[in-house]
Amino acid sequence: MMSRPNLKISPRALVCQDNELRGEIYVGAGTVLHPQCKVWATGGAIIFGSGNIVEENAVIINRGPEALIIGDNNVFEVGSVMEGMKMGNRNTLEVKSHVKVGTWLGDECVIGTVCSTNENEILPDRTVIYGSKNDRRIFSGNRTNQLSVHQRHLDYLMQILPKFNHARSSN
Amino acid sequence: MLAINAPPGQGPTRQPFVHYRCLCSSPGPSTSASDAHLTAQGKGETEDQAEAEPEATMDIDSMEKGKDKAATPTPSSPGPSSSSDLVPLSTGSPSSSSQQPRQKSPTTQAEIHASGNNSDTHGSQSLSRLYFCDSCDEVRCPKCVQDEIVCYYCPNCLFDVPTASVKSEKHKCSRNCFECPICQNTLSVVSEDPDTSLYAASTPATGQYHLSCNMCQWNSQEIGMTFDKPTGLAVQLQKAEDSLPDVKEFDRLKDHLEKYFRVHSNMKPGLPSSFLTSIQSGTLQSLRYVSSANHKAQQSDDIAHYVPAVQVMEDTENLEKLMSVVSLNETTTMKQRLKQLQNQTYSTQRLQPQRIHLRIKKLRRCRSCRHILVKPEQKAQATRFKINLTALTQLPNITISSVQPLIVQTVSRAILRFTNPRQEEAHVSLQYGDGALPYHGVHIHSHSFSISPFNEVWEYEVGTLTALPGTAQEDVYEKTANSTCIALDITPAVAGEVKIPLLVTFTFKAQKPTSDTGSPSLPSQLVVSGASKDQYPTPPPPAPEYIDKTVSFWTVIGFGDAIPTLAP
Repeated sequence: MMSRPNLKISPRALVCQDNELRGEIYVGAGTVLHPQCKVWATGGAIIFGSGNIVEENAVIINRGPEALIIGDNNVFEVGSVMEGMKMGNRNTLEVKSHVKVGTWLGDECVIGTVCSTNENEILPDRTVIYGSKNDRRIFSGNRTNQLSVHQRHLDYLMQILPKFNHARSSN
Repeated sequence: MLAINAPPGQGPTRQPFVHYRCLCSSPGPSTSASDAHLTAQGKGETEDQAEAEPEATMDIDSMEKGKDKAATPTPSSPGPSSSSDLVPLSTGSPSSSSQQPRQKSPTTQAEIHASGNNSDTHGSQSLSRLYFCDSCDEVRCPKCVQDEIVCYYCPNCLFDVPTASVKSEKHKCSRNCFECPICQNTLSVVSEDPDTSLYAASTPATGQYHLSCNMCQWNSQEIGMTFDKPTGLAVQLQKAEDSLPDVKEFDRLKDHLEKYFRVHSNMKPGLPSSFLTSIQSGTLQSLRYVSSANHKAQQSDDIAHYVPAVQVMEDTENLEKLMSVVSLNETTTMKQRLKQLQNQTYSTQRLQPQRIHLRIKKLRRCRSCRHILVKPEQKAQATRFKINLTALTQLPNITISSVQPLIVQTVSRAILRFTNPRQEEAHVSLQYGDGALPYHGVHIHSHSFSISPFNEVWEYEVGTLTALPGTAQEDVYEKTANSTCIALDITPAVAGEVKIPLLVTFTFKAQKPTSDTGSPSLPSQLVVSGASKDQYPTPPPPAPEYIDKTVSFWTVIGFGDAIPTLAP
């Protein structure tokens, strides 16, 4: 554990102990960081919006000079890697997905399991990357019940995680 | 592995392997030239006793090292027809007769010997792909088996479809199983969420349920397909399927031509009877008849010209659209098109979800004796096999435990491990095949040895078990739970891949099929006679008798590459 991270955690957010945090990190209300995740704001700050979920073994790295702004209601599933430059709202990075350096994610994108983006690209809203060959398409319509499911997920985590994990507070 | 063996600058190193040979890959009939090398040993063996003398030539034929690249001669040259001299008498001229009937039972030692006495990898495979027929006592490869269908099932809902309704449902699942037209993933039925409809820009289509893909986020609402009930979706789509223009056209064509067949068959007694009988069934025969009828069209009443109800237009509109395609995302891929054979559309908008294709479970039979080798369970959910006669469970599994780097003209030691999968003890004897080209020098330390039976209890034992001290002393390298290791000394003759053919003779105890003697009647006789039971105690049920069975098969073992001797 290097130098102590500079954390500003909103009172209604939940950041568990036992994760690797470095640099300047701002965590918005309602965001949950599970234990065993890595958030390295080595190059610049990382700013989380509200309602994000960062699960175990997820890696978020900001090497670039500017701050990495992550929007609201995103889900970083287990093992996902985020090295991009910007992120919108309601995206889902599925298990072991990889967002490469310099990529901008729009809103409501879904990077599928073990899929990755290319470097330095700007993904339009509602892009889905799926399949073993990283096929992509823009989807229309709604992802069924996604908002309500996400809200229930957040409520559940806020209830259960503090029972088994210690929480960090800002310094 | 063993990268040190590869000469620098060559391609990827060749891996060691062990392949087994099935009899169907035997080479053609060979000329019977006597081979002094072999006759000198006087192998004198009978047909069923395959225990070769330890000093008999152990020709290890099928040591195939080169899976792909066998520098081997054509099958005719290893003619070492030594085989014909080895087996005296019983088969007369085995070389000529060995080729023909596969159904001959049982294959003689000569034929077995001739079949694999070379280091050609063609026709040999690893043990995991082979079967073993226990009534013929022979190895069977996938080409020597025939398949039959056991049951049809849907891979998604695992429903066993009764064979009668398979054809009417066109081999597709008739329940709610659909696949996504974009990514071929399984679709799930979801209902309209009352919350999200507030955010929806447009009002949802009628009907509450629709299909949605979890992988590519495709929605059946994109093509306007919604359902009122979550079950029986296939039925709801059936009506749409039946009203397709090409199906209707085909029905109309059939109706039009059918009445001409019936009319002609009544009014044409002069036709040769073979034509008449061929009209009975089958569209193909009907078409043939039609073409012959056209020859006589001038004299007989001709078939009215059929006017199709739907005219096929020149496809210029499609052509223009395709010419203006900018990115490939706008058109369908070949895979997507081939899933929808009715119209094979180029536009992604017109792709529809298809019902999921059924799968089958197969059983495999031995071609010669028609016994079942592998039979799965009837139920779709069960993954067990009722009958499982794969070679892995019947024959010893040979693996290369370790091999020292191979250098030409230098002796290297290789350790082979033989694992016995059976519940009874087994004996193995080895012989090096002399038909290998190039012919490497191989010395086998233990030509004949035994392997302990397999016991599940030992799987939980920590550490290796060695044989009990009471067992006979065999000159083996190592003997553990149910495997035995033996040592081979190999002297490669030339550089390159080292493949050695090895004839393995495997003797094991198998249960004798219970003979139907009059024993069941005996107890009843005793009862009737009224004799006291003490004097004539009922005989115990006949204990399963074990008889010795022997199997010989060729293997080809590859040890990787031999590097040439370093120049002094």
